[in-house]
Amino acid sequence: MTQASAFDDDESITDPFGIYRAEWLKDALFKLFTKPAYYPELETPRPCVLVGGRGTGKTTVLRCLSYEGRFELDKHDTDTIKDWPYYGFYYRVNTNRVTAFRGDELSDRQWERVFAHYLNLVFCGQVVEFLNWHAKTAPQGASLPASVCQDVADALYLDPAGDQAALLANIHRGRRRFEAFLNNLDAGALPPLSLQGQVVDDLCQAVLDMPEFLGKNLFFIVDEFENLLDYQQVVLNTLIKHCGPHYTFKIGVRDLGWRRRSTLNENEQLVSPADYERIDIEQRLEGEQFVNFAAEVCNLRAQVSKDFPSGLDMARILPALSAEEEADLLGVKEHAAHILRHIEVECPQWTEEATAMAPLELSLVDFWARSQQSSLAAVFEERQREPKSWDDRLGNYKFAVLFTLRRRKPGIRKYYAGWRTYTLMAGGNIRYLLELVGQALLLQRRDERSTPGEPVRPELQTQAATQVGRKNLSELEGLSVHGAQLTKLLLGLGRIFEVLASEPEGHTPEVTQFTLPEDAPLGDAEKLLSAAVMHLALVRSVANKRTDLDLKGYDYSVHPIYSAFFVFSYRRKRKLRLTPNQLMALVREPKTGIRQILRQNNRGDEDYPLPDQLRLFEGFYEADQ
Amino acid sequence: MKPISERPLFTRDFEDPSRFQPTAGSSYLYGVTSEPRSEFALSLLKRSSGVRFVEIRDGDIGAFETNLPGFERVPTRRRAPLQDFVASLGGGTIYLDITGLGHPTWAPLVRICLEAGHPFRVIYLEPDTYNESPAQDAGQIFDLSERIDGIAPIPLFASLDDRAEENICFVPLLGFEGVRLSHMLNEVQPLAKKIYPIIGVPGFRPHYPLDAYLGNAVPLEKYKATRNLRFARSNCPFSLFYALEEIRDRHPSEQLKVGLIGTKPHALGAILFAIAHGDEVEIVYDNVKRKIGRTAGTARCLIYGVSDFLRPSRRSAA
Repeated sequence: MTQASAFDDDESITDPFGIYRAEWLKDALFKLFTKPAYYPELETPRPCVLVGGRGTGKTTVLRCLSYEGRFELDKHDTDTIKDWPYYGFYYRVNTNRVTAFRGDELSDRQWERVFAHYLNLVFCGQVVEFLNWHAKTAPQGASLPASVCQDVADALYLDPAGDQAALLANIHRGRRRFEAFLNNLDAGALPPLSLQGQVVDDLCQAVLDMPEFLGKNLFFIVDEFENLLDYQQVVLNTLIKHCGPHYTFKIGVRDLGWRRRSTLNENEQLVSPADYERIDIEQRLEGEQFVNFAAEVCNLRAQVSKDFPSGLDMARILPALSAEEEADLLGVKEHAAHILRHIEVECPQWTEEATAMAPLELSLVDFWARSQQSSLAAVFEERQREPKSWDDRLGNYKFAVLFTLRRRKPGIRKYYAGWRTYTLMAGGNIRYLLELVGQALLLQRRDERSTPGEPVRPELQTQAATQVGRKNLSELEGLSVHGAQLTKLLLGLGRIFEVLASEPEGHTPEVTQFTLPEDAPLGDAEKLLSAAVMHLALVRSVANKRTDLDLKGYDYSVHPIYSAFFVFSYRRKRKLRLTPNQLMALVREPKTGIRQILRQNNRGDEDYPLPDQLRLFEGFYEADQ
Repeated sequence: MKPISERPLFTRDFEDPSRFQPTAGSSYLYGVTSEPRSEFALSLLKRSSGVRFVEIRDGDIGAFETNLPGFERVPTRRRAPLQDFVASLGGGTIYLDITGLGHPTWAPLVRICLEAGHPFRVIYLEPDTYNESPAQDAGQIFDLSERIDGIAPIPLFASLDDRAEENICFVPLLGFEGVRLSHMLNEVQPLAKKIYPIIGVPGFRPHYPLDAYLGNAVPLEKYKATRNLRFARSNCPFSLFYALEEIRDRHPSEQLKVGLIGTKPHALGAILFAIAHGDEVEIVYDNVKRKIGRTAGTARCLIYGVSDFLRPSRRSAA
């Protein structure tokens, strides 16, 4: 059977670039899995914390570490099970579960004990479920000694169990009894509670003493750690810190989602690298590493589709534009002709020189004259006097000039095309990259002027990038309870960077980041910034790092996935300074907030028409609530 | 499967709410908000004798307040205080008017009243109109933090049943607010093919079903969830109950996670289903904050014969 036909019945694969979430792909997830470079670090018997935003592939990686994932990756080969060096148990923290463990009926200490017992039930349940799976699946299935089953049942205050099947059934029954307690909270009638972690230690030790598992490692994989309430993070931190030699933890968490670092002993903190290995996906997949990883992922997906069975040469299918080519598409010739007419009147002595110049360079002459408030002739003279310096300027400014050629005009104002550009816009986020590629291919399929398999036209690539930005902007609202504030912040910042990009004369070009003053308290902006980073409205890079929870030690930029939608540069370049109050103003009074920041950056009060795609939000920009 | 028209619905429908009269010796529990329809209880109070009226107010999380002496504050996450409160109402019929009450207040009461075994009716007054357009305009930003407190269990309906995603069906009961659906989908993370959205059809107004569809179009499209779309009369908990039964029959032994977004009668149907089917159902609720003055007028009064519908035999069969 060919690889493509193997997927024919799997509806999730009919549009392999259209399905991004690991949660949706199910077994296809494993078939499409590409190991990232940091994967071997996760396979070591050390606690690891995998930090990454939505769409960075965190869940995919963690699920592949689990025994179910490993079995799928090994294509259900039962003979290899005994050779696996580790067995992982995947657990996703479910908000609707963990929020049941709160309320003023119990004291904080009681909740900690109750939650610790619940974790014991969950983790022991996972181990025993694995053993039952192993017994059914592996050629020499494992069987937990009856005495251990009984001990575990006793420790968890369950009904007696003589074998692992009965133990699993009794764990389920115990969980239901425990559920009944949560539905009838009474501080005076707590159920018997097991000691935190002890029974998990004992069970794991017993498992590792079994001949089938000698020398193996056991991993508890906890995904979406950020969903835990603060005190619950502390309970789990304690387990991570003191988990001993029989098992370890692999944690998946969003940036800034790990809010509490202490254990139940509040003087004891979890510190990397002493207590755990921190793997920051976006840092580990920077630059070439991400480009190569992304190409592998795209190729694997392309190969299982009907359209591209032999894979995709990403650089060919998504061709880039040089600055000159892009300028040409943006109508630079018309622009240059206009400048030339001025030169003929204003400084005819330079007409010949100007006519011989590339249109983009001539546009820079005009741009520079306006920036410096000097004459065109003066710029020509300077260019002739200091050719090296002019060449440097051309290199530094021609990208910025591209944003000015079609400013204030309808239609495409700037192109976003090329495989490299797409990888930069994705900002290390594999889901965003798949969305960009998938949307570009989709638009090409729908385009009468295009043929599938041929390079995607720059217009279509740009439209795809704009649509992906808009889609993610609209999804921000539902991502978190504070989604509306994030949307408003993004609309505000996006608009500011768009105006700065389209009106660069006399200013630093390519301003795409902001910093916060070290001495001003963050106030309400702290939550907003945290949520924005956690949900990828903003990305941050280290400026003056003290700890990763110190928000002021970073530079921030709007995530580059939104650059095409707002029309600004996807490159992290120069910064402006914003205060926490200004950030909050963008959310509370966007019109006033935007105007104030633009004024501070020497852009006047004149009217800057919105790009077409932002017109939908005209109401937001025009009125403060 | 019998068509819905051939199944008992246990609903009395008063086009003119003033014709409804609670039986003598009964208790009538109600909440009052600024919405005109919740004032129905006050008018009833004036014209009914021999009926004990108890006003309930949604309290802090995990409690409600009443004007019944000795039960000024009733915790909802513990059964005994709720049982004591219900027992204090005597043995007559209990009417619970859910129109002016939040889910975390009325849902635990429904469970306890049913367990108490008294004749039990739930009252709901349809609004005449919504003051604002039900569907969100394009470009309008929907502030969830102003509308919801976040996903957390309704008291007495917490579930700890973790199942593999292929053994879960997610059934969102759709309202007009697509962002709430998006938020729930992000939290529940169901498999796309296991999403069974339910729209209220017929709606309180003829155009409401379309408004509900349009309001949810983006997340529905994203998950291609319209393929499994189901309908249940928007003012009928029993139609909703049957719709859930039909989904359960289609996926026996799988867990149904029911997302409460839409109408209160639908939420009631889901709560009754959870009571009847215990372990197989998980209620997902985002704890919406009720917006004052959201609706205007009172269209009709519906009386649901909940204890007749969910007889003890049905409950114990779960």
